[in-house]
Parts: sequence; structure tokens; C-alpha cells
Amino acid sequence: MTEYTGAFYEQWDQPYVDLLLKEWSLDEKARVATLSVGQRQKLAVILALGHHPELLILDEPVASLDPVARRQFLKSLIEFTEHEENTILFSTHITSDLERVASHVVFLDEGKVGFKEELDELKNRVKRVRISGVHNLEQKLKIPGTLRAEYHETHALLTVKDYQAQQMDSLAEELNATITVEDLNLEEIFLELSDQSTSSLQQVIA
Amino acid sequence: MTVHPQQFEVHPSSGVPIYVQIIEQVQAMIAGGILKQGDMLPSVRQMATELGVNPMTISKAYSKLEAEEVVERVRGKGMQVRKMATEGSQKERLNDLAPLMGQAVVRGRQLGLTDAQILSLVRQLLKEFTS
Repeated sequence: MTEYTGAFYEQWDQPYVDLLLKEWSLDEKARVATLSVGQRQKLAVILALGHHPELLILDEPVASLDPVARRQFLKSLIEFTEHEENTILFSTHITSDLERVASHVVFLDEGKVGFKEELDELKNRVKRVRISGVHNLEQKLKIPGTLRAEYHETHALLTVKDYQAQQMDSLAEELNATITVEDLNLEEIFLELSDQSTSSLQQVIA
Repeated sequence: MTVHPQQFEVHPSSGVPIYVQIIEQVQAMIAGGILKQGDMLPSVRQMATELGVNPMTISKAYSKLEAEEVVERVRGKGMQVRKMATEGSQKERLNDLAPLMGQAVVRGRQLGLTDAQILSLVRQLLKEFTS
């Protein structure tokens, strides 16, 4: 099933492909026509990995896979990039997969790059901030990079794009307010960033 | 004694970056005496495959721990816990715990519990978790 593709590549690594077929529980003797959609997707990814490309670009590679197969896919990606010589770029809507493996994420917004960032940096910068003060807060809060803001008299709920702890400390003092900061996961960050428009998500692991 | 990757609890979908989670857990294990001077951390590869996360994330956590002089790189062996960091001072360990206790106290207040009720719950839990 895989030798045919292999014949086109000089660097084809058949033992590696056989190992992947086994790990991904695909029957190497099966005919492609008899495979399910998910199995064909697995096969396509394995064939793409087979010649150890430096750069691998995958478009929604796990869309038809169940959670078990997705985890196996991520594991193979991790092993594939282990020596830090290969880069994988793949698009997905499953943010929890990205959080496991991505080093950098890019948000696509109607075909254009909306936002790109190192994943950890993104989590450090985008925060939800809850402010309870004594005064009406709406006019007083001018925080640069505010993505979304809700005000209820002396309470405010903001999402900021460039969170800085010091800035919040001085703000708390200035307004005589208590401020609590909430960490956001990628899905929540995605929702906040795409509030202005609809986006899709793409990622790079290096 | 060495720790096993499974002793780490990583939540990829939490807002806290995974490398920060690992740093905090290594520091907690050292402060709590689970990791002692001379103990080895699991290899980057072991951690990455067992926890199912990008090896670069683990490397990043280890490099930061190295920069903070918590661990040192031993050629051919991996990351070893350093002497100085073996035990945090009592104040440091308390500082580490304070934010977590703070959250619990805030929740207790929201639930309308009295100070005495909260304290008695803490005492009860301390008893339950006696090693």
C-alpha cells in the first residue's frame, strides 16, 4: 500500500512507515478503496511523513479522526519534530490539540493572518481582568489593547491583549479597586480575538 | 530517587502555559522534599512522550529552572537538582501556598461560611491528608 508512493522518493523510510502503520493501527495489506474516511486520512499523513520532509504542511489533518487517533497523531508529530530539525504547519479548529504541541499559533481571519504569536507568550499576554471599585468605572478605564469590556457600575470585566502586572497594580491603587486576573486558554483567547470577526486557526510547530 | 513523568500533572487547556506548570511543580516537589539534591529530572524525551506535549515546552521549562539555578545540566545524564535549592525557606514555602489558600478563602466567603467553619474544614482536611 505504501511502497508505491515510496518509489518516488530518494529518502523514503519504509521501516518508519511500517512502524507508523502499526502504531496507527492500519492494515498495510488493505486496499485503499476499502478504507474508511478516517483511515484514509491517517494513510495520507503517514505517506506525507514517510520521506522525512523538513517542512510538512497539513490542512485539517485530524478532521475525521477520533480522540484516540488524534492523540496518536500528536504523539507521532512530537516524535517527528524531536530533533528540532523539522517544522510542521497544520490547520485545525481543535484548540486543545494545539495547546499540547504548538510552539507558535497563527489565527486566520478570512484568509488573512489576523494574529500570530508564540503560544506561551499569547497566554501570558491575553488575560481577563475583573475590577471592582468604588466609583463608576466606565469612563475611567482606558487600558490600551482592550479587546472587550463590560461595565456594571462599579464592576468591570475586561479582556486585555497586553497584560502587564505592574500596570494593573498601579491601576488598582489609583482607582482604589480590587483587581483579579484570570488566565485564558487558547479556545477562550480565540473567541476573544475573533469577537470582531470570524476566524479560523492555523498553527506551526518547530 | 527520581520522579516519574506521571507524577507531573499537566493541563494543556489551562490558561497557564505548560512550561510554567512544570516549573511550578518541580519547585513544589523540591520544596516538599519529594525531589532532593542530586536527584535527576526525567529526560525531555520521556516527559514529552509520556505527557503528550511538545518537547520544546519541556526544554523551555528545564532551561528556565537551570537559569534560576534550581537544577544543573549534567553532561550525558540530564538535569540534576542542585544543592542550594534543596529546601525553600519556610517563608518561601508559605508564599508559594498563599495564593491557593487565598482562592479557597474567597470561595468560602462567597459561600457565606464563617471563619470558624472555614478553619474547622482546614483542620479536618489536614487530618485526612496526614501522611
